[in-house]
Amino acid sequence: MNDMEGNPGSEVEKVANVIADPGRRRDFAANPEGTLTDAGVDVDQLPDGVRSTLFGLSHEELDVVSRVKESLDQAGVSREDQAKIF
Amino acid sequence: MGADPAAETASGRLRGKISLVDGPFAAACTRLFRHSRLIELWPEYATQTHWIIRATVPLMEEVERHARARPDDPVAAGVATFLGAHIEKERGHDEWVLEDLELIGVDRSEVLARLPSATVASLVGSHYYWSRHCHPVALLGYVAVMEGHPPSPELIDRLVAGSGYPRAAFRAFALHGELDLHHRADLYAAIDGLPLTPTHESLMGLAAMSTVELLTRWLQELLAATVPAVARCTSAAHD
Repeated sequence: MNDMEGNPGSEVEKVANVIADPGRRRDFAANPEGTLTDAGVDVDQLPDGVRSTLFGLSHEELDVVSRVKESLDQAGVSREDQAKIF
Repeated sequence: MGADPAAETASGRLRGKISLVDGPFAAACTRLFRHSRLIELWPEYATQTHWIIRATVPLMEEVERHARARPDDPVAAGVATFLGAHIEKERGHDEWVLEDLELIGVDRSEVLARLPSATVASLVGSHYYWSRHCHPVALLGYVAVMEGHPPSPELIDRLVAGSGYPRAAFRAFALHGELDLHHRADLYAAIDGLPLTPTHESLMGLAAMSTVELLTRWLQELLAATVPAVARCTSAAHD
């Protein structure tokens, strides 16, 4: 059994990786649930508030979410610390 | 898995979007407010805060004017009504910051003479664009973020202790903590009273999340520019 299975935090991290990819971000805006499922995300593991908010975002809003994550990478914030604040 | 009650209202959905991206902003605030060199950082933070909030009333007045120029648009009319009341609540707050800065030895002429960064200009200026060229409802996304993080009394205590500056020098910050709680409730009620379409909500969300992103970048730049400068000054003093 994967040690990340059933951990909402790891599912959120997978979603962040999908949103960070420009091609998959566009797919996500058009079909959030299908894109996440294809990426191996168990959408039922996402916290309710996060899921409903993410599924309602436009492509332009998703661009902003991706830039926030990118700025953390550029600032040298570790993945471990990012997981605590993103 | 039950439905998220916050997602039932437009203001709840907007708060959900803000919460998706405000973790890094909160982390940057914590880094600044708990910094061991807060005594040097605070004057720069307050100076740059002035650059942002001196634009608040002129921005809202401009957007209100554009909103009133759309007489057949009920969302624009609601935005204009909200702004008409809100502008007076925000008027003069930039002056409070200048007065606070003078208490810690920063002359207002210094604050007004410096050139604000491109990040500060983008933070404020993007809302002129969205509100003028898309829809005035965009500005409510900006207001939601700016009113959405009121400083607590405990934070004020920490800032006084951490900086060594007199409590009076934090008047503007402390008053915002008290007033923003009321302003926030007024804003959410106004948003939930508007006949918003999904496009209106996306624009408001875009404006709000972009505000959070730019505020985070602004604080990161402030810390990066000020802390090394502080270190260089300290080093030179010991040479």
